[in-house]
Amino acid sequence: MTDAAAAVQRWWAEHPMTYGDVHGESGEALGSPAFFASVDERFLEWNRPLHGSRPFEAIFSYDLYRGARVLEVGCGMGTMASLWAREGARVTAVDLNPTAVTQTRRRFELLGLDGEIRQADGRELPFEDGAFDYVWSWGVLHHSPDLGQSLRELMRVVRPGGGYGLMLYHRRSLLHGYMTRYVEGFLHLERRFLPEVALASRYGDAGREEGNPHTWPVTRPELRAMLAEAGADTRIRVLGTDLDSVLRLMLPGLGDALPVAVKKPWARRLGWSLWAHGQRR
Amino acid sequence: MTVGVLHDPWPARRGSTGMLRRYRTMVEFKANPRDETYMRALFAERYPGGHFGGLEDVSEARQVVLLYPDATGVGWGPMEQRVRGRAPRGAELRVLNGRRRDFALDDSTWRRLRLRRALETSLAGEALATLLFLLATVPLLAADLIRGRR
Repeated sequence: MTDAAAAVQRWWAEHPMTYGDVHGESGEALGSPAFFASVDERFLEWNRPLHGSRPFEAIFSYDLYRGARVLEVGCGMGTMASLWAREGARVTAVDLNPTAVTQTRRRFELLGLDGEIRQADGRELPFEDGAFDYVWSWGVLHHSPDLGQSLRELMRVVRPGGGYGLMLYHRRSLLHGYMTRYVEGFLHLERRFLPEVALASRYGDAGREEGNPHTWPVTRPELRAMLAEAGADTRIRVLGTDLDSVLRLMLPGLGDALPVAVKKPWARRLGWSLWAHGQRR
Repeated sequence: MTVGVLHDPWPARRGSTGMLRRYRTMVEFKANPRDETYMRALFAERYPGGHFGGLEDVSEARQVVLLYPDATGVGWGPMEQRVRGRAPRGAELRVLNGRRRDFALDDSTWRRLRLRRALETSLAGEALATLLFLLATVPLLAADLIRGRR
């Protein structure tokens, strides 16, 4: 493992994604049923517009893959992997972070779910070519020191014609443009001290603390080009579920005062998440 | 002698009600000021030979370090004037801020900081961005409707 990957692994092991104000904190004992309930509550609330009668139904075709082999790259605390397992998919989940692997195994055990949870680097997945019918990764691979290699590897393990879904942070978003570049980079003079990637790493996904070794959001054209090179047909959507919270940070009451019709065109263009999905060619 | 000057203007900015309170909470959230314990520990780490002092100690210092709890020293204007007035000629004036940045406070940096404090507290950039945002919404809405996106 390279030094960069080891740094990413170490940081996330010490600051696992708990969806609290600070990574690693949730107010509940790690691995307890209350811990998983609090993680799920926050994570699902953040993504409410993507749910239907089942969580994330607007983006995941659970029924299409019932009984099929599915893989999550970067399972974190295991929320999504457990949703797929409950829907009857044969779930494999990997994470570079040993804390995430332990916690996801614990979650599956608590819920009585079947699944294979392993520690692995997204750039070198320990699976045969075409081993899975569907592969997804949610909010993880922008932390990879080599995103292109991670995407090639992700596509390698999808069978030809199989599906994939990929959420990455969006660099042309209101959150990045306003909070990271304007507030921290310009107003707070952080651009004087940090290069762009370090600025995005600290203020994009580290609770504004030092230490997150790598977070680099992508643009739509960059993502499209990388996925084409990795052998995928791609459709990309901007998910703007965060827009209200950014507007609330711009002017008091702005997020609440603007009608949905005014916010929608912006959420579609300047949301913090890019959702790429399609089939492997 | 290196003197670290502590000053936390943030508590005085809290405690109002209604819209003013929302405004102040929002500004403070973005400024993300650190508490006194954090700033004391940071100063001790970066300036092991230094000690904390008030304005009376500044007049004998060779180096004065202003400990901004936030990034740019919002609310520090009057204190900076007093420190600059008291510091001996030739004393080095520095800033150590709550983002853990350490830099010299020369005239050009001070001007830059004052501009940013004004922008941060007046929300002028945000007001301008909101205006542009609203103006651009109409053509974007029209484009979405033409493409059948509602």
